[in-house]
Amino acid sequence: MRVETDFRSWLLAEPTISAIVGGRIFGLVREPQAALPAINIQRIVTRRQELFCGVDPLVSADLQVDSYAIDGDGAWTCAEALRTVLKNFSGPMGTTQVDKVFLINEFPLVDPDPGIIRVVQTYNFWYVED
Amino acid sequence: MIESPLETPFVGGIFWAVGNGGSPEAYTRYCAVDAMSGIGSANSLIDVTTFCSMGVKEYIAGLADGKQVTIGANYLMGDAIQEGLISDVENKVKRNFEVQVDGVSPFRLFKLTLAMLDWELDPQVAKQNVIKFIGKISGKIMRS
Repeated sequence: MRVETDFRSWLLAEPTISAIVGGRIFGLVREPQAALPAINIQRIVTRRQELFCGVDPLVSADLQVDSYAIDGDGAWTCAEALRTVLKNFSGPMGTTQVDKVFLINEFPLVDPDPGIIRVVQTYNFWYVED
Repeated sequence: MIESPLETPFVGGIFWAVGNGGSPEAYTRYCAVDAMSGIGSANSLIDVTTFCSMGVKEYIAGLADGKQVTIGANYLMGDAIQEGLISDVENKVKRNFEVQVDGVSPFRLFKLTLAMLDWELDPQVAKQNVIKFIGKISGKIMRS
């Protein structure tokens, strides 16, 4: 399973997140008509280490997680909940063994959709790949 | 004209293998390695200038001295090869290694012995932990 897919499933099962967004956690493209708040996940960078014997199974991937709401407070509430559940995370996410997660960037944006505020977070995931 | 694979550059295909000290010696590829440097030797410079040198310096190559080799690897807890190399440094012993080149046929080997000098664990906060070993080539590098 891909790390972003397992991450999405893990978030859907996380009570503090589902209490905010319900099932509105999307992958790659947020459904335009979906209610808010909502979350969108997309992988933006993947780094694999080449060893002399081949590729190391420990992979580093940056996942961009966008928290959408109709105002800044709503978007930040969602983003802060994400930060809290991922703080110092280490362990399994579905079938993916996650070694470490770091929040490496976080900033608000005015979304191109009128009246929507988005908080963009970038999480660096270290996980083990088959 | 198609060039021979032996005459073109290639990527990868080189492995660092660690001897077990047995007879015959068995070599195991150390697969956590991501950096190896300093494999080679240099001859010392001997000044043989005389009064007959017509005003210019003259030199010859002296004794060959093997380089100091640094091996960098991902740190693996409980890896037998890494534990063995740390013990080599602690016990001030030498170990045999092979640099195995099999990116292009025929297979080539550089066999060398290192006096193990140094091990260093470099813990990292936000990426994989790494370990480094340094040894000095002792004796001749055998090429085949």
